[in-house]
Amino acid sequence: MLVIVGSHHDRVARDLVAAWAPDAALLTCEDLSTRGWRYHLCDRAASRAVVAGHVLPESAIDGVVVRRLAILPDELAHVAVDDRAYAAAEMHAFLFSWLSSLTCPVLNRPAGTSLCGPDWRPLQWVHMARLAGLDTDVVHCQVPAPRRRVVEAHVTTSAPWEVNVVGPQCLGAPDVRYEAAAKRLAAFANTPLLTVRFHAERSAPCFHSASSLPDMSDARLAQAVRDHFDACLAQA
Amino acid sequence: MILLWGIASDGPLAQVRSALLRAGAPMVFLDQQRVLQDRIVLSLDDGIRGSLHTGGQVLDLSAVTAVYVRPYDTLRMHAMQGAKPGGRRHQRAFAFDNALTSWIELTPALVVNRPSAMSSNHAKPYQLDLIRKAGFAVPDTLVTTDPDAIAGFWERHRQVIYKSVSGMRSIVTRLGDEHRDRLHDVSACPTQFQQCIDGTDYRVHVVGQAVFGCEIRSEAHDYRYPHRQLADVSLHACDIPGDIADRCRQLAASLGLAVTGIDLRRTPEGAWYCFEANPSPGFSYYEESTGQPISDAIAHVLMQGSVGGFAALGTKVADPVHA
Repeated sequence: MLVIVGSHHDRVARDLVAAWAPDAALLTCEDLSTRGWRYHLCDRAASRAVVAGHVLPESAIDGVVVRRLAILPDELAHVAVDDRAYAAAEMHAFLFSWLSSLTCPVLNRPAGTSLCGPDWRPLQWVHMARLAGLDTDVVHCQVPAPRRRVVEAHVTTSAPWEVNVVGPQCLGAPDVRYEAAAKRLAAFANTPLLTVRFHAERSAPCFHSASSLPDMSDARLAQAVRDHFDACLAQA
Repeated sequence: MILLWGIASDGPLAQVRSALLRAGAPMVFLDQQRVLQDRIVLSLDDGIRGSLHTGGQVLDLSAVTAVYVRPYDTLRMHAMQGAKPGGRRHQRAFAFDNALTSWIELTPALVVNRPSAMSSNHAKPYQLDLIRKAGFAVPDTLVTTDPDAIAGFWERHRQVIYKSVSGMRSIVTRLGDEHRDRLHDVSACPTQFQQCIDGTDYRVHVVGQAVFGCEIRSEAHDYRYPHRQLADVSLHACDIPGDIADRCRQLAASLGLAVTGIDLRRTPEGAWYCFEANPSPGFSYYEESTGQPISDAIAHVLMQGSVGGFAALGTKVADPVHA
Protein backbone atom coordinates (compact mmCIF):
# COMPACT_ATOMS: atom_id res chain seq x y z
CA MET A 1 0.00 0.00 0.00
CA LEU A 2 1.26 3.48 -0.93
CA VAL A 3 -0.03 6.24 1.32
CA ILE A 4 -0.51 9.79 0.11
CA VAL A 5 -0.53 12.23 3.02
CA GLY A 6 -2.66 15.12 1.89
CA SER A 7 -6.02 16.79 1.96
CA HIS A 8 -9.39 15.93 0.46
CA HIS A 9 -9.10 19.34 -1.19
CA ASP A 10 -5.81 18.41 -2.86
CA ARG A 11 -6.84 17.36 -6.37
CA VAL A 12 -3.34 16.13 -7.22
CA ALA A 13 -3.35 13.86 -4.18
CA ARG A 14 -6.73 12.44 -5.20
CA ASP A 15 -5.47 11.94 -8.77
CA LEU A 16 -2.43 10.05 -7.51
CA VAL A 17 -4.64 7.73 -5.50
CA ALA A 18 -6.84 7.13 -8.54
CA ALA A 19 -3.86 6.56 -10.84
CA TRP A 20 -2.22 4.12 -8.45
CA ALA A 21 -5.39 2.29 -7.44
CA PRO A 22 -5.84 -0.17 -5.87
CA ASP A 23 -2.42 0.11 -4.22
CA ALA A 24 -2.78 3.66 -2.88
CA ALA A 25 -4.90 5.53 -0.36
CA LEU A 26 -5.20 9.07 0.94
CA LEU A 27 -4.38 9.85 4.59
CA THR A 28 -6.20 13.03 5.60
CA CYS A 29 -6.75 15.11 8.72
CA GLU A 30 -10.02 13.26 9.18
CA ASP A 31 -8.03 10.04 9.55
CA LEU A 32 -6.21 11.66 12.45
CA SER A 33 -9.60 12.08 14.10
CA THR A 34 -10.50 8.44 13.61
CA ARG A 35 -10.29 5.70 16.20
CA GLY A 36 -7.46 3.25 15.54
CA TRP A 37 -4.08 5.01 15.60
CA ARG A 38 -1.53 3.28 17.83
CA TYR A 39 1.97 4.69 17.79
CA HIS A 40 4.15 2.79 20.24
CA LEU A 41 7.53 4.45 20.61
CA CYS A 42 9.19 1.26 21.86
CA ASP A 43 7.11 -1.36 20.02
CA ARG A 44 6.69 -0.49 16.38
CA ALA A 45 5.33 -3.93 15.51
CA ALA A 46 2.27 -3.12 17.62
CA SER A 47 1.72 0.23 15.91
CA ARG A 48 -1.33 0.88 13.75
CA ALA A 49 -2.25 3.63 11.32
CA VAL A 50 -5.56 4.88 9.98
CA VAL A 51 -5.60 5.50 6.25
CA ALA A 52 -8.75 6.40 4.33
CA GLY A 53 -10.74 5.35 7.38
CA HIS A 54 -9.18 1.89 7.61
CA VAL A 55 -6.93 0.66 10.40
CA LEU A 56 -3.81 -1.09 9.17
CA PRO A 57 -0.48 -2.24 10.59
CA GLU A 58 2.53 -0.13 9.68
CA SER A 59 4.02 -3.16 7.96
CA ALA A 60 1.27 -2.87 5.34
CA ILE A 61 2.63 0.51 4.23
CA ASP A 62 5.19 0.21 1.42
CA GLY A 63 5.81 3.88 0.87
CA VAL A 64 4.53 7.37 1.62
CA VAL A 65 4.21 10.51 -0.47
CA VAL A 66 3.82 13.62 1.67
CA ARG A 67 1.75 16.32 -0.02
CA ARG A 68 1.59 18.84 2.80
CA LEU A 69 4.02 20.97 4.81
CA ALA A 70 1.77 21.46 7.81
CA ILE A 71 -1.65 20.94 9.29
CA LEU A 72 -3.49 24.20 9.64
CA PRO A 73 -6.37 24.98 12.04
CA ASP A 74 -8.65 26.11 9.23
CA GLU A 75 -8.52 22.63 7.68
CA LEU A 76 -10.10 21.02 10.71
CA ALA A 77 -13.72 21.66 9.88
CA HIS A 78 -14.64 18.53 11.83
CA VAL A 79 -13.15 19.96 15.04
CA ALA A 80 -14.83 22.56 17.27
CA VAL A 81 -13.65 26.04 16.32
CA ASP A 82 -12.13 26.79 19.73
CA ASP A 83 -10.12 23.56 19.64
CA ARG A 84 -8.74 23.83 16.11
CA ALA A 85 -5.44 25.60 16.87
CA TYR A 86 -4.54 23.09 19.57
CA ALA A 87 -5.71 20.10 17.53
CA ALA A 88 -3.76 21.26 14.47
CA ALA A 89 -0.56 21.61 16.52
CA GLU A 90 -1.08 18.18 18.06
CA MET A 91 -1.88 16.49 14.74
CA HIS A 92 1.10 18.16 13.08
CA ALA A 93 3.43 17.03 15.86
CA PHE A 94 2.04 13.53 15.75
CA LEU A 95 2.32 13.25 11.98
CA PHE A 96 5.87 14.63 12.17
CA SER A 97 6.84 11.96 14.69
CA TRP A 98 5.07 9.15 12.87
CA LEU A 99 6.45 9.98 9.41
CA SER A 100 9.95 10.35 10.87
CA SER A 101 9.76 6.90 12.42
CA LEU A 102 8.59 4.91 9.40
CA THR A 103 11.07 2.41 7.98
CA CYS A 104 9.53 2.38 4.50
CA PRO A 105 10.52 4.98 1.84
CA VAL A 106 8.98 8.40 2.53
CA LEU A 107 9.03 11.19 -0.06
CA ASN A 108 9.94 13.40 1.75
CA ARG A 109 10.57 12.82 5.41
CA PRO A 110 9.84 15.67 7.84
CA ALA A 111 12.64 18.04 8.75
CA GLY A 112 12.83 21.18 10.83
CA THR A 113 9.19 21.95 11.46
CA SER A 114 7.99 20.87 8.02
CA LEU A 115 6.19 17.63 7.30
CA CYS A 116 7.85 17.35 3.87
CA GLY A 117 11.56 18.04 3.64
CA PRO A 118 13.49 20.91 5.17
CA ASP A 119 11.69 24.13 6.05
CA TRP A 120 14.51 26.27 4.69
CA ARG A 121 13.82 29.84 3.73
CA PRO A 122 14.90 31.08 0.26
CA LEU A 123 18.19 32.47 1.60
CA GLN A 124 18.94 29.17 3.31
CA TRP A 125 18.30 27.25 0.09
CA VAL A 126 20.76 29.51 -1.74
CA HIS A 127 23.31 28.99 1.03
CA MET A 128 22.84 25.22 0.97
CA ALA A 129 23.10 25.19 -2.82
CA ARG A 130 26.47 26.95 -2.51
CA LEU A 131 27.60 24.45 0.09
CA ALA A 132 26.57 21.66 -2.27
CA GLY A 133 28.81 23.17 -4.92
CA LEU A 134 26.19 24.84 -7.13
CA ASP A 135 26.72 28.28 -8.62
CA THR A 136 24.39 30.93 -7.26
CA ASP A 137 23.82 34.63 -7.72
CA VAL A 138 24.38 37.10 -4.91
CA VAL A 139 21.04 37.48 -3.14
CA HIS A 140 19.92 40.70 -1.47
CA CYS A 141 17.14 41.08 1.05
CA GLN A 142 15.91 44.22 2.74
CA VAL A 143 13.01 44.77 5.16
CA PRO A 144 11.27 47.06 4.74
CA ALA A 145 11.93 47.04 1.02
CA PRO A 146 13.33 50.27 -0.36
CA ARG A 147 10.29 50.79 -2.56
CA ARG A 148 6.77 49.60 -2.25
CA ARG A 149 7.08 45.88 -1.76
CA VAL A 150 8.80 43.63 0.74
CA VAL A 151 10.88 41.39 -1.49
CA GLU A 152 13.56 38.81 -1.48
CA ALA A 153 15.27 39.59 -4.71
CA HIS A 154 15.82 37.01 -7.40
CA VAL A 155 16.06 39.13 -10.53
CA THR A 156 15.28 37.05 -13.58
CA THR A 157 13.97 37.92 -16.97
CA SER A 158 12.44 34.57 -17.87
CA ALA A 159 10.96 31.57 -16.14
CA PRO A 160 13.60 29.31 -14.58
CA TRP A 161 14.47 25.79 -15.72
CA GLU A 162 12.73 23.31 -13.50
CA VAL A 163 14.44 20.01 -12.79
CA ASN A 164 12.84 17.31 -10.66
CA VAL A 165 14.84 14.77 -8.71
CA VAL A 166 13.15 11.51 -7.68
CA GLY A 167 15.61 9.29 -5.88
CA PRO A 168 18.25 8.37 -8.47
CA GLN A 169 16.14 9.71 -11.35
CA CYS A 170 16.12 13.23 -12.74
CA LEU A 171 13.47 14.78 -15.00
CA GLY A 172 13.60 17.92 -17.08
CA ALA A 173 17.33 18.59 -17.01
CA PRO A 174 18.57 20.36 -20.16
CA ASP A 175 21.88 18.50 -19.93
CA VAL A 176 23.98 16.39 -17.60
CA ARG A 177 25.39 19.43 -15.77
CA TYR A 178 21.92 20.41 -14.57
CA GLU A 179 21.12 16.84 -13.64
CA ALA A 180 24.32 16.48 -11.63
CA ALA A 181 23.75 19.80 -9.84
CA ALA A 182 20.15 18.99 -8.98
CA LYS A 183 21.10 15.55 -7.66
CA ARG A 184 23.91 17.04 -5.58
CA LEU A 185 21.52 19.44 -3.90
CA ALA A 186 18.89 16.74 -3.31
CA ALA A 187 21.51 14.53 -1.69
CA PHE A 188 22.89 17.42 0.37
CA ALA A 189 19.40 18.34 1.56
CA ASN A 190 18.59 14.69 2.26
CA THR A 191 15.46 15.25 0.20
CA PRO A 192 14.99 12.54 -2.43
CA LEU A 193 12.01 14.29 -4.04
CA LEU A 194 13.05 17.80 -4.95
CA THR A 195 12.34 20.45 -7.54
CA VAL A 196 15.45 22.48 -8.32
CA ARG A 197 15.09 25.62 -10.41
CA PHE A 198 17.95 27.17 -12.35
CA HIS A 199 18.19 30.58 -13.96
CA ALA A 200 17.19 30.03 -17.58
CA GLU A 201 19.24 32.70 -19.26
CA ARG A 202 22.64 31.30 -18.26
CA SER A 203 25.06 29.17 -20.20
CA ALA A 204 25.78 27.02 -17.14
CA PRO A 205 23.63 25.85 -14.21
CA CYS A 206 23.02 28.67 -11.75
CA PHE A 207 20.74 27.90 -8.81
CA HIS A 208 17.51 29.88 -8.58
CA SER A 209 15.33 28.17 -5.93
CA ALA A 210 14.13 24.79 -4.73
CA SER A 211 11.03 23.12 -3.36
CA SER A 212 10.64 19.91 -1.43
CA LEU A 213 6.97 19.82 -2.47
CA PRO A 214 7.11 19.33 -6.26
CA ASP A 215 4.15 19.82 -8.57
CA MET A 216 3.03 16.23 -8.99
CA SER A 217 0.28 17.09 -11.44
CA ASP A 218 3.00 16.37 -14.00
CA ALA A 219 2.19 12.81 -15.13
CA ARG A 220 5.84 12.01 -15.84
CA LEU A 221 6.87 13.04 -12.35
CA ALA A 222 4.04 11.04 -10.80
CA GLN A 223 5.12 7.99 -12.78
CA ALA A 224 8.75 8.50 -11.72
CA VAL A 225 7.64 8.54 -8.09
CA ARG A 226 5.68 5.35 -8.62
CA ASP A 227 8.68 3.76 -10.34
CA HIS A 228 10.85 4.80 -7.40
CA PHE A 229 8.59 3.00 -4.93
CA ASP A 230 8.42 -0.07 -7.18
CA ALA A 231 12.21 -0.16 -7.36
CA CYS A 232 12.46 0.15 -3.57
CA LEU A 233 9.98 -2.69 -3.15
CA ALA A 234 11.87 -4.86 -5.62
CA GLN A 235 15.07 -4.32 -3.65
CA ALA A 236 13.43 -5.05 -0.30
CA MET B 1 29.40 42.08 19.81
CA ILE B 2 26.56 40.03 21.30
CA LEU B 3 23.02 40.33 19.98
CA LEU B 4 20.02 39.60 22.23
CA TRP B 5 16.61 39.15 20.57
CA GLY B 6 13.40 39.09 22.56
CA ILE B 7 11.41 41.28 24.91
CA ALA B 8 12.74 43.18 27.90
CA SER B 9 10.30 41.62 30.38
CA ASP B 10 11.29 38.05 29.55
CA GLY B 11 12.96 36.61 32.67
CA PRO B 12 15.76 34.57 31.07
CA LEU B 13 16.62 37.32 28.61
CA ALA B 14 16.62 39.97 31.34
CA GLN B 15 18.96 37.88 33.47
CA VAL B 16 21.38 37.17 30.62
CA ARG B 17 21.30 40.86 29.73
CA SER B 18 22.12 41.80 33.34
CA ALA B 19 24.94 39.26 33.44
CA LEU B 20 26.42 40.67 30.26
CA LEU B 21 26.13 44.21 31.64
CA ARG B 22 27.91 43.15 34.82
CA ALA B 23 30.65 41.59 32.74
CA GLY B 24 30.97 44.69 30.59
CA ALA B 25 30.32 42.74 27.40
CA PRO B 26 29.43 44.71 24.27
CA MET B 27 25.87 43.93 23.27
CA VAL B 28 22.84 45.11 21.38
CA PHE B 29 19.33 44.32 22.57
CA LEU B 30 16.93 43.87 19.67
CA ASP B 31 13.56 44.59 21.23
CA GLN B 32 10.91 42.51 19.53
CA GLN B 33 8.32 45.13 20.48
CA ARG B 34 9.98 47.38 17.86
CA VAL B 35 9.40 44.91 15.05
CA LEU B 36 7.66 47.50 12.89
CA GLN B 37 10.36 50.13 13.37
CA ASP B 38 13.52 48.09 12.86
CA ARG B 39 15.22 47.47 9.51
CA ILE B 40 17.41 44.67 8.27
CA VAL B 41 19.55 44.53 5.15
CA LEU B 42 21.14 41.25 4.08
CA SER B 43 23.30 40.01 1.27
CA LEU B 44 24.31 36.42 0.64
CA ASP B 45 27.36 35.52 -1.41
CA ASP B 46 30.21 33.47 0.04
CA GLY B 47 28.67 34.18 3.41
CA ILE B 48 25.85 36.17 4.90
CA ARG B 49 26.43 39.86 5.57
CA GLY B 50 24.28 42.79 6.42
CA SER B 51 23.16 45.32 8.95
CA LEU B 52 20.48 45.75 11.54
CA HIS B 53 19.00 49.18 12.20
CA THR B 54 17.40 49.39 15.63
CA GLY B 55 16.84 52.13 18.19
CA GLY B 56 19.03 54.61 16.33
CA GLN B 57 21.92 52.15 16.10
CA VAL B 58 23.28 50.48 13.01
CA LEU B 59 24.76 47.08 13.78
CA ASP B 60 27.12 45.47 11.31
CA LEU B 61 26.00 41.85 11.50
CA SER B 62 29.49 40.65 10.58
CA ALA B 63 30.64 42.00 13.96
CA VAL B 64 28.21 39.78 15.86
CA THR B 65 30.02 36.89 17.53
CA ALA B 66 27.09 35.46 19.50
CA VAL B 67 23.31 35.65 19.58
CA TYR B 68 20.85 34.88 22.37
CA VAL B 69 17.45 34.09 20.88
CA ARG B 70 14.25 34.34 22.96
CA PRO B 71 11.56 35.65 20.60
CA TYR B 72 7.86 35.43 21.38
CA ASP B 73 5.01 35.16 18.91
CA THR B 74 5.27 38.35 16.88
CA LEU B 75 1.48 38.69 16.83
CA ARG B 76 1.58 39.25 20.60
CA MET B 77 3.70 42.38 20.31
CA HIS B 78 2.03 45.70 21.18
CA ALA B 79 2.72 47.00 17.70
CA MET B 80 0.70 44.18 16.19
CA GLN B 81 -2.48 44.79 18.15
CA GLY B 82 -5.34 45.18 15.71
CA ALA B 83 -3.16 44.29 12.73
CA LYS B 84 -5.15 42.60 9.98
CA PRO B 85 -3.99 39.15 8.88
CA GLY B 86 -2.22 39.60 5.55
CA GLY B 87 -2.24 43.37 5.98
CA ARG B 88 0.73 45.72 5.67
CA ARG B 89 1.83 45.41 9.32
CA HIS B 90 1.56 41.64 9.19
CA GLN B 91 3.60 41.45 6.02
CA ARG B 92 6.32 43.71 7.32
CA ALA B 93 6.59 41.96 10.69
CA PHE B 94 6.77 38.52 9.16
CA ALA B 95 9.23 39.65 6.50
CA PHE B 96 11.45 41.07 9.24
CA ASP B 97 11.24 37.87 11.31
CA ASN B 98 11.87 35.81 8.21
CA ALA B 99 14.97 37.79 7.23
CA LEU B 100 16.37 37.87 10.76
CA THR B 101 15.73 34.16 11.25
CA SER B 102 17.48 33.43 7.95
CA TRP B 103 20.50 35.36 9.20
CA ILE B 104 20.38 33.55 12.56
CA GLU B 105 20.40 30.20 10.76
CA LEU B 106 23.30 31.14 8.50
CA THR B 107 25.57 33.31 10.64
CA PRO B 108 28.84 31.71 11.74
CA ALA B 109 28.31 33.36 15.15
CA LEU B 110 27.41 31.19 18.14
CA VAL B 111 23.61 31.08 18.40
CA VAL B 112 21.80 30.12 21.60
CA ASN B 113 19.89 28.39 20.07
CA ARG B 114 19.28 28.16 16.33
CA PRO B 115 15.60 27.67 15.43
CA SER B 116 16.52 24.59 13.40
CA ALA B 117 18.10 23.02 16.50
CA MET B 118 15.07 23.90 18.62
CA SER B 119 12.61 22.25 16.24
CA SER B 120 12.77 18.75 17.72
CA ASN B 121 10.88 20.05 20.74
CA HIS B 122 7.85 20.79 18.54
CA ALA B 123 7.13 17.05 18.25
CA LYS B 124 7.60 15.39 21.61
CA PRO B 125 7.53 11.71 20.54
CA TYR B 126 10.08 12.53 17.84
CA GLN B 127 12.35 14.21 20.37
CA LEU B 128 11.85 11.38 22.84
CA ASP B 129 13.06 8.92 20.21
CA LEU B 130 16.19 11.06 19.74
CA ILE B 131 16.68 11.08 23.52
CA ARG B 132 16.34 7.29 23.59
CA LYS B 133 18.88 6.95 20.80
CA ALA B 134 21.22 9.22 22.80
CA GLY B 135 21.31 6.55 25.49
CA PHE B 136 18.76 7.68 28.05
CA ALA B 137 16.01 5.49 29.40
CA VAL B 138 12.64 6.94 28.38
CA PRO B 139 9.14 6.05 29.57
CA ASP B 140 7.09 3.67 27.47
CA THR B 141 5.01 5.94 25.27
CA LEU B 142 1.80 5.49 23.29
CA VAL B 143 0.20 8.08 21.03
CA THR B 144 -3.25 6.95 20.06
CA THR B 145 -6.80 7.65 18.98
CA ASP B 146 -7.89 4.24 20.22
CA PRO B 147 -9.55 3.91 23.66
CA ASP B 148 -8.88 0.16 23.66
CA ALA B 149 -5.17 0.80 23.22
CA ILE B 150 -5.22 3.15 26.21
CA ALA B 151 -7.00 0.57 28.31
CA GLY B 152 -4.35 -2.03 27.51
CA PHE B 153 -1.51 0.43 28.10
CA TRP B 154 -3.06 1.49 31.39
CA GLU B 155 -3.50 -2.07 32.53
CA ARG B 156 0.09 -2.92 31.65
CA HIS B 157 1.65 0.07 33.43
CA ARG B 158 -0.93 0.64 36.20
CA GLN B 159 0.07 4.30 36.49
CA VAL B 160 -0.14 6.38 33.31
CA ILE B 161 0.04 10.10 32.55
CA TYR B 162 -1.04 12.04 29.48
CA LYS B 163 0.35 15.24 27.99
CA SER B 164 0.53 17.16 24.74
CA VAL B 165 2.25 15.79 21.65
CA SER B 166 3.30 19.20 20.36
CA GLY B 167 5.33 22.03 21.85
CA MET B 168 2.13 23.60 23.15
CA ARG B 169 2.38 23.74 26.92
CA SER B 170 0.08 21.30 28.67
CA ILE B 171 -0.31 20.12 32.23
CA VAL B 172 0.95 16.59 32.79
CA THR B 173 -1.99 14.70 34.27
CA ARG B 174 -2.24 11.24 35.76
CA LEU B 175 -5.00 9.02 34.42
CA GLY B 176 -7.56 8.28 37.10
CA ASP B 177 -10.94 6.66 37.45
CA GLU B 178 -12.57 9.97 36.53
CA HIS B 179 -11.11 9.55 33.02
CA ARG B 180 -12.55 6.09 32.30
CA ASP B 181 -15.79 7.39 30.83
CA ARG B 182 -13.93 9.92 28.69
CA LEU B 183 -11.35 7.68 27.02
CA HIS B 184 -13.38 7.68 23.81
CA ASP B 185 -12.62 11.41 23.50
CA VAL B 186 -9.13 10.55 22.25
CA SER B 187 -10.55 9.45 18.90
CA ALA B 188 -10.82 13.16 18.02
CA CYS B 189 -7.06 13.77 18.12
CA PRO B 190 -3.91 11.72 18.74
CA THR B 191 -3.10 11.92 22.45
CA GLN B 192 0.13 11.01 24.17
CA PHE B 193 0.18 8.61 27.12
CA GLN B 194 3.24 7.62 29.08
CA GLN B 195 4.16 5.07 31.65
CA CYS B 196 4.32 6.92 34.96
CA ILE B 197 7.83 6.78 36.38
CA ASP B 198 7.92 7.17 40.14
CA GLY B 199 10.80 9.08 41.54
CA THR B 200 12.33 12.49 42.05
CA ASP B 201 12.36 15.16 39.37
CA TYR B 202 15.56 16.86 38.32
CA ARG B 203 16.05 19.77 35.96
CA VAL B 204 19.51 19.82 34.48
CA HIS B 205 20.65 22.94 32.65
CA VAL B 206 23.50 22.33 30.26
CA VAL B 207 25.32 25.53 29.34
CA GLY B 208 28.19 24.76 27.02
CA GLN B 209 30.09 22.15 28.99
CA ALA B 210 28.73 23.24 32.38
CA VAL B 211 25.98 21.27 34.03
CA PHE B 212 23.69 22.69 36.71
CA GLY B 213 21.60 20.14 38.57
CA CYS B 214 18.42 21.03 40.38
CA GLU B 215 16.38 18.60 42.47
CA ILE B 216 12.66 19.30 42.61
CA ARG B 217 10.77 18.20 45.69
CA SER B 218 7.03 18.15 45.10
CA GLU B 219 4.09 15.80 45.36
CA ALA B 220 2.53 17.27 42.20
CA HIS B 221 2.51 15.23 38.98
CA ASP B 222 3.59 18.39 37.16
CA TYR B 223 5.67 20.48 39.55
CA ARG B 224 5.24 23.53 37.32
CA TYR B 225 1.62 23.69 38.47
CA PRO B 226 1.74 22.60 42.13
CA HIS B 227 -1.27 24.71 43.12
CA ARG B 228 -3.54 22.55 40.97
CA GLN B 229 -2.91 19.69 43.35
CA LEU B 230 -2.49 21.84 46.43
CA ALA B 231 1.08 20.63 46.56
CA ASP B 232 4.24 22.46 47.55
CA VAL B 233 7.33 22.62 45.44
CA SER B 234 10.89 23.38 46.44
CA LEU B 235 13.99 23.50 44.28
CA HIS B 236 17.46 22.58 45.48
CA ALA B 237 20.79 22.83 43.73
CA CYS B 238 22.46 19.43 43.57
CA ASP B 239 25.22 17.41 42.00
CA ILE B 240 24.35 15.07 39.16
CA PRO B 241 26.29 11.79 38.79
CA GLY B 242 29.13 12.19 36.35
CA ASP B 243 27.87 9.65 33.83
CA ILE B 244 24.43 11.26 33.77
CA ALA B 245 25.95 14.73 33.42
CA ASP B 246 28.05 13.48 30.51
CA ARG B 247 24.97 12.01 28.90
CA CYS B 248 23.20 15.35 29.28
CA ARG B 249 26.11 17.11 27.58
CA GLN B 250 26.07 14.54 24.79
CA LEU B 251 22.33 14.92 24.34
CA ALA B 252 22.63 18.70 24.15
CA ALA B 253 25.43 18.36 21.61
CA SER B 254 23.53 15.80 19.53
CA LEU B 255 20.54 18.16 19.38
CA GLY B 256 22.81 21.08 18.47
CA LEU B 257 21.82 23.02 21.59
CA ALA B 258 24.39 25.26 23.29
CA VAL B 259 21.99 25.74 26.21
CA THR B 260 19.23 23.36 27.20
CA GLY B 261 17.04 22.41 30.13
CA ILE B 262 16.77 18.63 30.46
CA ASP B 263 13.99 17.03 32.48
CA LEU B 264 15.07 13.88 34.32
CA ARG B 265 13.57 11.64 36.94
CA ARG B 266 15.52 9.33 39.26
CA THR B 267 13.65 6.26 40.42
CA PRO B 268 13.95 4.89 43.95
CA GLU B 269 16.06 2.10 42.43
CA GLY B 270 18.51 4.67 41.04
CA ALA B 271 17.58 4.54 37.35
CA TRP B 272 17.54 7.85 35.47
CA TYR B 273 14.79 8.57 32.92
CA CYS B 274 14.75 11.50 30.55
CA PHE B 275 11.50 13.13 29.40
CA GLU B 276 12.42 16.17 27.41
CA ALA B 277 15.14 18.59 26.37
CA ASN B 278 13.87 22.16 26.41
CA PRO B 279 15.75 24.19 23.81
CA SER B 280 14.74 27.57 25.23
CA PRO B 281 14.64 26.91 28.95
CA GLY B 282 13.03 29.31 31.37
CA PHE B 283 16.04 28.90 33.64
CA SER B 284 15.32 32.09 35.61
CA TYR B 285 12.75 30.21 37.74
CA TYR B 286 15.44 27.73 38.81
CA GLU B 287 18.17 30.33 39.15
CA GLU B 288 16.07 32.48 41.46
CA SER B 289 15.28 29.50 43.68
CA THR B 290 18.70 27.89 43.83
CA GLY B 291 21.11 30.75 43.33
CA GLN B 292 22.85 28.82 40.59
CA PRO B 293 24.70 31.22 38.28
CA ILE B 294 23.08 29.96 35.09
CA SER B 295 22.73 33.38 33.50
CA ASP B 296 26.39 34.13 34.24
CA ALA B 297 27.30 30.86 32.57
CA ILE B 298 25.21 31.70 29.50
CA ALA B 299 26.75 35.17 29.38
CA HIS B 300 30.19 33.59 29.57
CA VAL B 301 29.43 31.22 26.70
CA LEU B 302 28.11 34.14 24.66
CA MET B 303 31.25 36.16 25.42
CA GLN B 304 33.45 33.22 24.43
CA GLY B 305 31.44 32.80 21.22
CA SER B 306 31.87 29.07 21.57
CA VAL B 307 30.48 26.27 23.71
CA GLY B 308 33.82 24.48 23.63
CA GLY B 309 35.60 27.45 25.20
CA PHE B 310 33.65 27.06 28.40
CA ALA B 311 35.51 25.12 31.08
CA ALA B 312 34.11 21.72 31.93
CA LEU B 313 32.99 21.88 35.51
CA GLY B 314 31.72 18.42 36.22
CA THR B 315 28.54 18.63 38.19
CA LYS B 316 29.58 21.16 40.76
CA VAL B 317 27.15 23.87 41.57
CA ALA B 318 29.91 26.33 42.35
CA ASP B 319 29.99 29.48 40.23
CA PRO B 320 31.46 28.18 36.97
CA VAL B 321 32.53 31.61 35.79
CA HIS B 322 34.92 31.98 38.68
CA ALA B 323 35.71 28.34 39.33
